Amino acid sequence: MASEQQLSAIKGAKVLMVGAGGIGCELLKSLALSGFQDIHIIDMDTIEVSNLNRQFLFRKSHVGQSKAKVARDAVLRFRPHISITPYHANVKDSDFNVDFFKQFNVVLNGLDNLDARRHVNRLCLAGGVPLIESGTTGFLGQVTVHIKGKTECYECQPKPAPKSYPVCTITSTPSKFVHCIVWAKDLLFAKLFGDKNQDNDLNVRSSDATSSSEHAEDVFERKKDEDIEQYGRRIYDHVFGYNIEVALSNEETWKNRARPKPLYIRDVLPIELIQQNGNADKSFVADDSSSVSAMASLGLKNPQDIWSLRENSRVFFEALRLFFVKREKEIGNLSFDKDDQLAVEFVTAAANIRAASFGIPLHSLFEAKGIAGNIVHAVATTNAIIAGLIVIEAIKVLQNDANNYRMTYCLEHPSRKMLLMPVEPFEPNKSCYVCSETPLLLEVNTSRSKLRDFVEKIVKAKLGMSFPLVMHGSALLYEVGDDLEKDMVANYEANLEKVSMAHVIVLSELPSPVSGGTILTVEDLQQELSCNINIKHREDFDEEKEPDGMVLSGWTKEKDKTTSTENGASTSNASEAVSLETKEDSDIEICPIGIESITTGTKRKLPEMSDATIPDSSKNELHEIDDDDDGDDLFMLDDGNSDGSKKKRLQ
Amino acid sequence: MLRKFCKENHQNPGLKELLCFAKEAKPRHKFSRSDLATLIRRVQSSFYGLKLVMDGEELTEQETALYDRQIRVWGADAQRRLSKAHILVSGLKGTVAEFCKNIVLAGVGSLTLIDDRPVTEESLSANFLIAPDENVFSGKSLAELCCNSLKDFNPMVRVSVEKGLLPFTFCRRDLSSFGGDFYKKFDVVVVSCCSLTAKKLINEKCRKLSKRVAFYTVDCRDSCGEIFVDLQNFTYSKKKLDETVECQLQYPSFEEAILVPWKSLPKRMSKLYFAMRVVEMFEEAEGRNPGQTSIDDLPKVLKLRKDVLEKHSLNESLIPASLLERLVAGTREFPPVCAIIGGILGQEVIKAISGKGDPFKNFFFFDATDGKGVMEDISSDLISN
Repeated sequence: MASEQQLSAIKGAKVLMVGAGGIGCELLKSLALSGFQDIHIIDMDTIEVSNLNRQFLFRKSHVGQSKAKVARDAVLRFRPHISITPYHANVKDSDFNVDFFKQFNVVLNGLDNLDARRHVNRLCLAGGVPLIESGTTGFLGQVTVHIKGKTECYECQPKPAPKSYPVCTITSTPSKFVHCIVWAKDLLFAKLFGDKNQDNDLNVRSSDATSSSEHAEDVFERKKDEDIEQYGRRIYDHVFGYNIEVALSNEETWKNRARPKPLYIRDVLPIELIQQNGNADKSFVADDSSSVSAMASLGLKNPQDIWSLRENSRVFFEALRLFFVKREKEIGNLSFDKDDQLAVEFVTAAANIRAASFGIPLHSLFEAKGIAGNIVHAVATTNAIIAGLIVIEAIKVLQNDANNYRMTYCLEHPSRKMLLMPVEPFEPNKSCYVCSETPLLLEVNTSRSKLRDFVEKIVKAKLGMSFPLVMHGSALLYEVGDDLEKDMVANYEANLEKVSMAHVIVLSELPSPVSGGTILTVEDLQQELSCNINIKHREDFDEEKEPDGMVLSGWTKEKDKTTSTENGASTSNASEAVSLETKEDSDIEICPIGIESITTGTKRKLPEMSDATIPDSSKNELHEIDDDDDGDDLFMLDDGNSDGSKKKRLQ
Repeated sequence: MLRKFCKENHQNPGLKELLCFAKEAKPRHKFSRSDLATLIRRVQSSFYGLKLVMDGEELTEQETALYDRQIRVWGADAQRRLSKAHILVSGLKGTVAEFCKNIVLAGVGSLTLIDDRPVTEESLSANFLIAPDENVFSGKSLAELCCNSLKDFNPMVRVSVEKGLLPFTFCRRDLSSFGGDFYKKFDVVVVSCCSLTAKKLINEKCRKLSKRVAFYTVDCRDSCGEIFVDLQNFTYSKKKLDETVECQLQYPSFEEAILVPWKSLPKRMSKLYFAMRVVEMFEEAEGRNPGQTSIDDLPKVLKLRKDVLEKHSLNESLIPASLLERLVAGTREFPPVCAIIGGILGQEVIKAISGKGDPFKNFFFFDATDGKGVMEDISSDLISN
């Protein structure tokens, strides 16, 4: 039970919860039971069926409704006299500015994506509001406390970059199923159904086209009067047959690798069978385009089953056909979405056919969906535990009990008898560009790079700014605001100069030229974050290793191991390798040269919740909390037996 | 068609029982109320059994959609085992309410609740299953009210109440008065707010059965929590690197575990272990219901601490007075600790049912003041025969 002091701190507190998902539902319940009287909760998501196994405030009848609002109503049923204010909105909306954040005594995050976490971290720093951050994956979870000037901020430690694969692994030498999924999703699916104007690494030239290069036509264009079955056969033979033959012709590649087997439709599926596909449908398929399913029309029921090559080929044809017959309007602007059944079926089938060709074990639709959709494993129990820990820390923060703040890790296997392991929070990283004023360093070819590249690849992608402003001294080089996108035309005159500069002119040719030695100031007014970037000119960049054509360093030691930070970190290559390896199932992206756009093609549904990021604290020493006679050696956090989900080694 | 169906399912125990019942019943037989109740229960249980037979080894489409995220954690076979597990809980305070929520969401086969106590302000303080609306709970027991909310969480889980029972020993009838036949129906038994004697008794009854019934006790006081587990002879699998290995564990009973001389326990044993035993002994000696203590009892409890530690020839500093004070005075649960303990217990029960992953041995302790969640293994070589 809470003490009198605790109770009065709780009763007088006004708290903001960000996220009403897995952690959020548990947290809102625990806050209400603990006596909190004034809770505000932001979540832009609506309820889905796959939430119901853990987001216990929601029922099937709520599917499609606002999480924040339904969660509020559910909690008011057992605590009718408290105040809960829901916002069905994106925390990145400009309404939630620093002044909004300042009204709260503490902010509690139950988010699932890096982008929103960084945004909230910055607003909390700007408003001087304590932040409690949390995340879970499967049986693992953690709670951390971030207080400006006292403990490290959420961004003091660089977050592990999303897993990326070399282009050639995806296009020519896949060795794991995930490579086939990435190929099927980001290349084939994007090519067939996505934006035609986007760059794509698929070989689109047919054998005829190479001979007469003048008429080099795209195999993926459906010819006039070509029926869908012919078109499907052509695509199948091209990507699974011809392209493999082309790859095989390069003997060098296969010296130390198993040679793939080209697959042609005539060998896999006799012509009658494809036609059967078509016939099966007429009596079967529903009119509602969202429920169109190749599995349904082929009579395949269990998503856990692993289909044979022939079954996969049938699904491939049927899914392709259904896209053209039932969803023709969407073709050209589809992007892969894990909740799109037909898209998942197509990607599963295509990935499996490719896997069969390369001698990689085939997978079920259920498994393929998890890999393709970056689905984060989630169970109710871990969320409940983490929510309880958040409330305990929140009460300490409200009492200003700084000596007792703890980061707590929830482990799957006990480490020194502990399943819940408290650790003292770290000091702020003095070279963190977010919570300190240390400038960053950007190496860039100033006579080749465009301002646009700088804004997209560095300011937005690396620094996580949404509405950036770039300044050179007092000269404004670039600016983007709320109205700019919607109202592009109206604002054109005012912004014309800047926008066109951003598009065309290289850095050194700007009205106030950017060259080696320049200091740029980058600001996001909404996040109230400003940082300086020292520019260093560099002529050449490695296309594979430095695909952006520019390298940002300073607070991060991810890439450049010689840049040391000051918090006594001992990074070993081994631990980094481990953390990368095991990130495998959470973020999959290709990192090719010049086509980063295909990876951004995932559905822009913000914030696309996974309930997790285990922070990459592997770079810190964990000092044991000294209470009794436990000695003062360091923790080994060895999760070696986990189900391959995530491992950490702290040393 | 019915005949064919019966033929196919003739091995189903529920159906067998139902058919027997139908044969016994004579035409124009007048059913009494209790007959009807029995009939309904039998019909229910047979349908439950039939569902499993009909579904065979596969999860339904509905189950796959609902449990998608957790199947990705523990696999489809574990989910199938969960859906066949029957769980009994007794003593519905906040921690157990949390546990029930977790296990119902996870999709167990059935959950049976025991707690005939009426709703009080205290029982509401950490229990989110009950709305504080007096009209709603007039005349209903804690178990009945919790049952209604839990059913709502997951329509695929059968939640029911075993009536006429209290979790305590010193009242009318309690859980420990049941014979083995009662416990045989379950795979997992979880007791809370239970006296020392009752814990031992129920644990022994579970151990005497031919099938393995996992036994757990759970309690929260102030901002501390304790879980005990007895899985008897337990075989499970776990992943080690890329292989799946079979493991085996031997568990002592609750009585065996607490009989281990304190001097021979590991040096860094959680202080909560000793403190909880002293409070338990105090309640037992004074004939109190579990949790029925106040700060006024502290002098007596401290006296008991002295005696007990002398008997074990240990120093009094082993159990800080401040800790005992918290446990004796703070009998109300602290909601965040309920969530944590209820979560850990949920996870353990899921491991025990699915036979996947290391379960813990034998005690788990959490204290919000230091934030540590510690597992204490009373290894078998300490257990005297």
